[in-house]
Amino acid sequence: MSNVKFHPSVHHDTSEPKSSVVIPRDDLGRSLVSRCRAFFFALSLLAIIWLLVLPAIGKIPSVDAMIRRHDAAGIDPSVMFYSEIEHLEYRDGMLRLTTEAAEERSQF
Amino acid sequence: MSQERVEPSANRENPQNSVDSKWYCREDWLAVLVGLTVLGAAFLCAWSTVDFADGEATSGHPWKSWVGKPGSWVNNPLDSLPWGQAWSTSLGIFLGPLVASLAGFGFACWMQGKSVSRFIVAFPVVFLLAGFAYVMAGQETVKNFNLEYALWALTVGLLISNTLGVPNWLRPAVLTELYIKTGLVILGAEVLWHRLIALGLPGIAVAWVVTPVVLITTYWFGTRILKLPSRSLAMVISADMSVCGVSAAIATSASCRAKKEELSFAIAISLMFTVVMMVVMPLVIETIGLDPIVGGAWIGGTIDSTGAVVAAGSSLGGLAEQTAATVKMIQNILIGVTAFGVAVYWVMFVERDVDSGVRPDAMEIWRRFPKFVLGFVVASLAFTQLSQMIVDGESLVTLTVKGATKGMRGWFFCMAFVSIGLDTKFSNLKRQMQGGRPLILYVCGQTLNIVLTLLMAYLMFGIVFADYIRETLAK
Repeated sequence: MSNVKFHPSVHHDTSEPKSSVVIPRDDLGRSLVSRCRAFFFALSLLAIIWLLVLPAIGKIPSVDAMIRRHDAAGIDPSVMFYSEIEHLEYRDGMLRLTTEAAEERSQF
Repeated sequence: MSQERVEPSANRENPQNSVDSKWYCREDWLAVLVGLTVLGAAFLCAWSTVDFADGEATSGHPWKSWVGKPGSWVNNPLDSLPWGQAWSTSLGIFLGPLVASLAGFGFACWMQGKSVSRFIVAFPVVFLLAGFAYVMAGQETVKNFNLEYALWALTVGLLISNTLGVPNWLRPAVLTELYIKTGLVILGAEVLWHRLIALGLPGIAVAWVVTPVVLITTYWFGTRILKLPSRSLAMVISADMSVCGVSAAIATSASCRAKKEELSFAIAISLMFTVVMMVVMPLVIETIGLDPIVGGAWIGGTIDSTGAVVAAGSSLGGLAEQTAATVKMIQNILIGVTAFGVAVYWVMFVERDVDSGVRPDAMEIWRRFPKFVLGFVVASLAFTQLSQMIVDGESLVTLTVKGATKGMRGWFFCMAFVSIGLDTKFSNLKRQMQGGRPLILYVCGQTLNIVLTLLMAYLMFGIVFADYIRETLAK
């Protein structure tokens, strides 16, 4: 549980002169500026990974081939439960290709 | 049986503390109420408006354009949003889950005596963070490696709680338990019991025999041999690995009241191994020249995540894909038995009075039993009956689930993982490592799973029922 305290009474460095402007600190004693810096650093890291690194990985021939194969077959590898599989439907005791998926596959 | 002390947990509801509130104001029952209301409304809406011809729906579910999530993208995250379409099909897809969540969870807050206005102020931010997690999960490379939204929702929450910190005004919408329990009740509608016997005896052998054996053995190994201090962590890892990945981990963690960090940790391990197994297993099957149908059954029984099973199976061909997906579907259904069984086992044997070691009586078991599991079972039985008893029931249930409820359930789980992240410090996650023992548990359990499933798949799909399976697939 995060216990971020925004109470004016929380001063970790007592040697600082008291002022009317109180900088809120968290339970680790970090100032707002230091927390914002950490946040924007983490956000920048995520942006670099998602906008540059991951698209670059997707262009590696073997990965690209896998992505194209999944696309062509209508497969979403990120589904969590069988009911989310769109290209297969339950019929006579099996999950079978839907008519649309079967037609699409016949074109490849 | 266990006489170990159960560790106190932040999210473990102490039944002793809740005796003061009326039963219908407690979180479990409210989750059941909200979940069943969503299911009932979605089903009735489809039943009263959609026509069927030759067992096929002539139109989509009326909620379909109001319940959606961001799509996939390659380079530009904005491509995940349906710009350039009518507003009802662009922003409208987020409106359904937003309004339904505000109404349902706002009502739950009101019933529990919490401030509804504070919830209404905070909730859109949690919803927005969940939407951001969906956008992250929609990146094409991420999506194709089966790194599900749960991981990114957790990341988003962790990023905020470990840098900026969670402001107090946001706390009223950080309702992990309520989101998870409501999502699970809705998931119940997707657990259709008659599908347990799909593929007949061979399916039963692979999914019904191997899965419980691996689950129980792994749990026993974790608690008795590796001596993991947390029984709930051992249970969540065992269910996650032997049943069906993230969804099983969510259901089991709620049933045994595992800590939030334990659920996060189990899911992270599972997704990490799923990426590897999804790539390696088809290569191994091709290298050793295993029959694609046997290979499909092996993949279906071992790879944790459903999406990864289909992807890995498809690389071996259509027959392997169908076999793998169907075996996984049977394991998905087992989530109901697992959640119920774990809840009963926990209240009867793990959470019994530590000091006296006396087994609780029936009233005590009822008092401690996680009631949302009943909502899950009721939803599951009701939708199974509806799919079997009414005309075009199977299509109607499928339409309801695919067009409306799975989208809602996805948002609830996504918000739950955002909330877990917001409630977790990295130090808490690090503590779960426990000298690498949970990782050892996963590796040992998965090794047993791989070996047992291969033996059973080879025996059932390759020898005993080989002809029957080929006939079924050729239908």
